[in-house]
Formats: sequence, structure tokens, C-alpha cells
Amino acid sequence: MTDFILNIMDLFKGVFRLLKVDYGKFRIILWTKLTDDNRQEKSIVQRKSKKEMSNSLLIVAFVYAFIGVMVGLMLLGIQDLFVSMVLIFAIIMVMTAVALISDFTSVLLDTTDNAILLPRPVDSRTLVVARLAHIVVYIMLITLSLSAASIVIGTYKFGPVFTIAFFFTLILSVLFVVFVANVFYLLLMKVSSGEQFRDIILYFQIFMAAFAMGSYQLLPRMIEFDTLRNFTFPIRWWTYLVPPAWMAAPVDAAVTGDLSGPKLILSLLGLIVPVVSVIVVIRFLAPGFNRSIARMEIVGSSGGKDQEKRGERWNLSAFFSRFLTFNPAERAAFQLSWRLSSRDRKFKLKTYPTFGYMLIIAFVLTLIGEGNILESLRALPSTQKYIIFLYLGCIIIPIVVLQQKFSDQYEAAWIYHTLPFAKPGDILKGSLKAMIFKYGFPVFTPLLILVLLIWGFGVIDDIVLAMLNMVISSLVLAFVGKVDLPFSRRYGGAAESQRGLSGFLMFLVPAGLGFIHYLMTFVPYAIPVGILVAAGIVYMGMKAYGNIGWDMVRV
Amino acid sequence: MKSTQPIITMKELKKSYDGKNYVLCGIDLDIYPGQIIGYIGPNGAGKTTTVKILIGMLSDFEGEVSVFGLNVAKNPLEVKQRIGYVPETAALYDTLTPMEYLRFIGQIYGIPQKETEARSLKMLELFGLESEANVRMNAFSKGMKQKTLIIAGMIHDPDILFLDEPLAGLDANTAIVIKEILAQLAEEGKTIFYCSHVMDVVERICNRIIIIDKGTIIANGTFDELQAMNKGKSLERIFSRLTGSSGHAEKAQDIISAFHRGQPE
Repeated sequence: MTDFILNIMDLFKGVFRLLKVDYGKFRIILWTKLTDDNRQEKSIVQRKSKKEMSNSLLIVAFVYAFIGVMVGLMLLGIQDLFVSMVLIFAIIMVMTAVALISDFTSVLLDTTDNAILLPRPVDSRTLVVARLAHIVVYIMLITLSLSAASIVIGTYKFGPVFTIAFFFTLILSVLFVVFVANVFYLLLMKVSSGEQFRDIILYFQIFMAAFAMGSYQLLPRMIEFDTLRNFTFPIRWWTYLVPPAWMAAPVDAAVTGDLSGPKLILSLLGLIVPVVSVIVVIRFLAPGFNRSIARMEIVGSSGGKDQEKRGERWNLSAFFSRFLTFNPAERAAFQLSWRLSSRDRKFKLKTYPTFGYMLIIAFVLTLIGEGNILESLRALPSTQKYIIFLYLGCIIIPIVVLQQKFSDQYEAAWIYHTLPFAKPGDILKGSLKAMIFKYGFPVFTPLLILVLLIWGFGVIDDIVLAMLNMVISSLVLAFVGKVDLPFSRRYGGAAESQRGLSGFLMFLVPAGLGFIHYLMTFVPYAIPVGILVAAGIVYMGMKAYGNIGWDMVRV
Repeated sequence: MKSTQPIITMKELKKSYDGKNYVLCGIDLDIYPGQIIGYIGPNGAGKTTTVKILIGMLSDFEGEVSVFGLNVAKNPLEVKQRIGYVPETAALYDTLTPMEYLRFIGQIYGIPQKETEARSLKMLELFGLESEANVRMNAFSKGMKQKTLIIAGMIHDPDILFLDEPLAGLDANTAIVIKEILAQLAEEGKTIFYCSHVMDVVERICNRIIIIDKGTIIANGTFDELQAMNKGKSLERIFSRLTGSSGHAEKAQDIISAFHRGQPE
């Protein structure tokens, strides 16, 4: 992959020489950046393999191409070309922008890079061009993979006119996306500190990962919508404000030959805005951008000055730990896990996308069936689908429980082994309680409100049972296999790849419990009895978990 | 000693990051070929800033700095081609293997690939890393990364070598090898600029010691000269007398009593 890209670059050697770029140095810098990139994880690929990453660019391309197939199918599914092109451009532009922001922040703000390259004899022009080339390669990879299927299908359906028009507008839309990303960065750097900035970028990465997972569920179903199939939208005043419409218009015009007033205006916008924005980026934004990055670097190097102001006084973890924990060791573990999980970016990146994904699944399972959405919404109260909602919540918490074993700073867990504890059970229990409570609460509250709104107070006993079952599922997963202390395992290490059984149980246990619950709704008085039994299991389980000795903990 | 031209000269060197507070407030210094300079000072004294200016990483400073008789701000590339730098923080692409990384660095200096590979292998072997030459560095210990960084800093046979705490994380045997290498390089006429907090190493290997504090030079000379001027026995004592506070014993006593407080007698 890397060699292939570099071979293409070699074709333009003359151009680079013309720009006074030292091509030999440029090539080796680009090789290093791409190789490094190729071995990093990308937010769209949640990998499970135990091998070292060595082809992540290829995998990224593959994932995008797969989404691209579903995007391209809209050309066949939707009658109106203009509508399908607007949708296609909307998805391509949004995905490219988000990918640019989520995966390329590290490249744009890379400061280790400076420490390596600035002391070496490389002129700044070569360095800037290498950086730009790296970004361009990445964007091209994403947009080409995303649009590959659309190009094939469109060419088959509309002939080579489509290919040329689409390709041309694709380039324009990428230029526009780069402009938008640039403005976004500048605004963000103006209004936020370095640490906040990284947090905002994190939420983009989470959105990206959730979207990538959800798109397999949502996109194919979207094409099935009857309403979409025969949909045409009249051009209103606001249509002129939608960038994908600017890009769709020329493609539509090229194929249908209809270049009437509104489409002409849209096409002109599609041509002029990207060109103007590129000029704005080069003339006005780029210098300010580099200055801002340089400033952030100094702020960053002077150490993280983000103080936790609330740390000393009243805070949630201290507040809840008073009610939920019963000895100092347990309390300490409760607060530690609570705080670390809030601040560890990798932990959030690994767990939060699942929350979004579950939301999409809930939507798909309950609302998208036969017929249209409104009808299924009206029919909902007479079904038992609240079980689905509640048990999707049950799946999330065990995921968090499994994830809290891992940390980038796993080495810090040596501390547990040097402290005078007779048994690590208190640590484990405190940490488990923190995870269940911290994530169970925000996950279940909206579910609760939703379920109560749709089904009424008659299902309140079901909610209690589901919450108890959530704790049981978490306990089962905490017990399976070798027990690990909180935040004591390395990401991508043996522990993460060996969790085959737990990964399986993670879905099976809540699903099984949910199924039993579903059957019980048909038996009178079964739910109250179930609640008693489940409460008993939770009590016993927690007690046993707190009694785990050092011999059961993996060192 | 002053028979040759100075290889580094700084005249009235000042540097401020924010335009208000000066990190360096007027450094005047001449350095001659074949010297091993010990550049020491308390945390935040301006050591790393000085080095970054000398190697051409920072170009917006006040005053005049020339290296090899070239103005650093105007000819950074020519200067960079002939110097080596080993930074304090292990900044490298740790997804690469040592061989890949060194090949990359070698290519930037324009060394033929065969030559880079031969030198790298030789050095890796010398440091006992030959079996890890083709293993990705993300699993490396601090010392192993440090060895790779040192090799990367020397791969193009520079005339001046800037080292920032180069022995951190290295085992005693490797440290001895490095010290020996530095001594022999200086013998050949190369110049070494050595920043460190480890006083007894500086005392032993450097033939000229410069102490800076709050951006100004407060001592400059051979170890013997510093000893004679300050009536101190070791460099550690001299350093502490010049830069710091007295009363280390009282401070230590305070710290210890803070621990005892609140504990059952």
C-alpha cells in the first residue's frame, strides 16, 4: 500500500522539483509518515485481532468501500437522480470531514514530529509539502473508497457523462470539506484550551466509530423506505444553503441535460464556493493555523495545567461512594475507577461508541419493521418491546465492566500489589460498583423515562427486574476466566485478544436473561418472584466477588 | 587553548517565548573544537532553550549566534547537516523498527543507504540491540529507545554533538561505553555539548563546565578553576552554593517532620 502510493507520487517527481522540494527527503518523510500511519489504529476500525497493526490504511479503505457500496446502491434504489446525488454527496462529505477531524488531528498537531525533524537538515518547504501530501493521500483514500461503488453503478446506469461529472464535483467537494475542517479547527483553537480541544476531538472520534457501526444497520434499511424511493424535492430557498445540493446539481444537469434556473445557480455555487474557499485557506487561514498550532505546542509543553477544581470539595464519586461502599479500600477503588474512567480518553473511545450503537439498534429493532415508522410507533404500547430497550441497557454495562481492565497506563497497577491488602476483593468490588453505578445510571434513566412514557407505570416491576439482571450480567462477566484488577492490562495485549469467551457471554447473558424475562411476562406473579430471586443472586454474587483472594487475580 | 577559531559563538543571546519574560537574558560564550562542554543549571534555567537555538530549531531570538562561523538563523540547513542532537524526551516514531528509523534518519542526511545500514548495524551491535534491530520500538524499554536515539544522533558523523541527559535509562556498561566514545570523539577534534543534572558525570567527563541560572551564565571554566574560585570540593557542592538556597538540612528536616505528624507515637 505504502509503496503503491509512493510509486504514484514518483510520477509527479517533476512537479515537486519545480516547487523546489527536495524530492529524496520528501519521499522518505512521506514513507515514514505513511508507515507510522499504517501501524496505528484508526477510529473507524474497532479491531479485535491480536496481531500488530500493519495495514490499517488498507483496512480503512476497505471499511469505507463497504459503506460506499451501500451509499452507491441509492443510485439504484431512488428514482430521482438529484435526490440520490444529494444524499450521496451528503454522506461522502460528512464522512470525509469527520474522518479528517477524528483521525488527522494527531497529524496536524503532531509535536513529536517536530522534535524529530526540526533538528535535521530539512528545509521547511519540503516539510510543509510532505505534511500536505500526507493529508491529501489520506483524504483521497477515503473519498475514492467511499465513492468507488457509486462511480461503477452510476457509469453503468448513466454512461461516461456521469463518470466525468461525478469525478469533477467530487474533487470540488473534497476541497470544500478541507476548508470546512480548517475553519472548524481554527474556531476550536480560538475558543478552547489544549485539553478541551482534545476532548472535543474525542467526541468526533466517538461519533465516527458509532456511525461506522450503525451504518451497516441503517443504510441498507434506508434504501428500502418507500417514501424515499419515489421522493423528489422541490428546490426552495434553503436548498441553496445545502452544500451537497451544489454538488448534486451539476451531476444531475450533465446526465439529464436539465440546466434550468435553480440548477444553474446551484451548479455555479458548487464551482465558485470551493475555489474561493481554497483561496481563503491558502491566503488567510493557513498562516493563522500554523501560528495557533505553534502556540498550542508551547501551552502543551508547559504541562497540563488543567486543574480539577472540584477535586477537593464535593463531587459525585465521593458523594455516591459514601452510600455504596463499606470500607476504606472499597471506597478508594470506587473513587479511583470513577475518576480514571472519566479522564482516560482511550476508555471513552472504546466504550462510548457502543452506547450510540445500542441506540441505533434499539431504533432499528423497535421501529423499523413492516410499514412505516409512524404506524410502528403507534403499535408499540401493545407490544412487549420494552424488554428490548431494557436489555440493550443491560448489554452496555458489562461492556464497560470488561473494558475497565484496560488502560494505557496499565503499569500503574503495581500499586495494588504493594499495598497491605489481605485480599483484592475490596478493590474489585469498589471498582465494579463504580462502573455499574456510573454508567448504569445515565444509561437507564433515559430508557426508564422512555419506557414509562410509552408503556406506563404497569411495567415498573419489569424495570426493577431488568436492572437487577444488569448487575447479574456484570457479575457473571467479572467472574469469568481470570480476574483482573482495574486498569491493569495493556490495550492490544494478550488479555484483550483472549477475551473470546467473555466477548461471547457479554451478549449472551443479557440476551438470555432478557428472553427468560420475556417468557415470565406471560406468567402471573412471575415478575415479583423473579425480583426476589435476582436480588438474592446479586447479594450473594457481590459477597463472593468481594472475597476473591490474590490467588485468583492475574498478575 | 585559544589557538583555533571558536566553533560556536553566542553574543548577547536573549530569548523570550511570550515577549515579556526572558528565558535567556544575554548569554556570551565561545566554544572551541575538541571541547566537552558540561552545560548545567537548575530546572528551568534555560539549558534546553539554548540547545534548541544552537541546533536551529528556534530561530526567533535576539543576539548573534554562529556555529561553524555560520549564522544559525540564516543558514539553519548547513548547520543542521553537521550537528547531531540527542533530545531529552524519547521522541521517535515508535511504530518503526530501529533499522527503519535509522534508515529514515540517514536518508534525510543524504547518506547512502548501504552506508547507513552498515553503520546502524555496527552501532546496534555495540549496544547489544542487534537482535531487536527489526522489532517495532513500541515495546522497547526507555533504555533501548535511548540507545536508538543516540545512534540516530551520531549516524552522520557530526562535528558537534548536542546531548541532553543522554545517559538516562542506560545500564552502567552502556554508560561507560558512551562516556568512552565521547572522550575519543573529543580527541578527534569533535565538540560535545553535554546537558545534564548528574553532577559527578559532568565533573568527570567535561573539560569545561558552564553553569547557568535564570538565563545567565554564573560560572564558566574547567573543574579545577571552579574549585579554586568557590572553595568547593565536588561539583555538586559548588553547584548548590552558586545556584541554590542554602539550608538543605533544614528543608529535609521539615519534610521528614511533615511525615511524622499525625502518626501515632
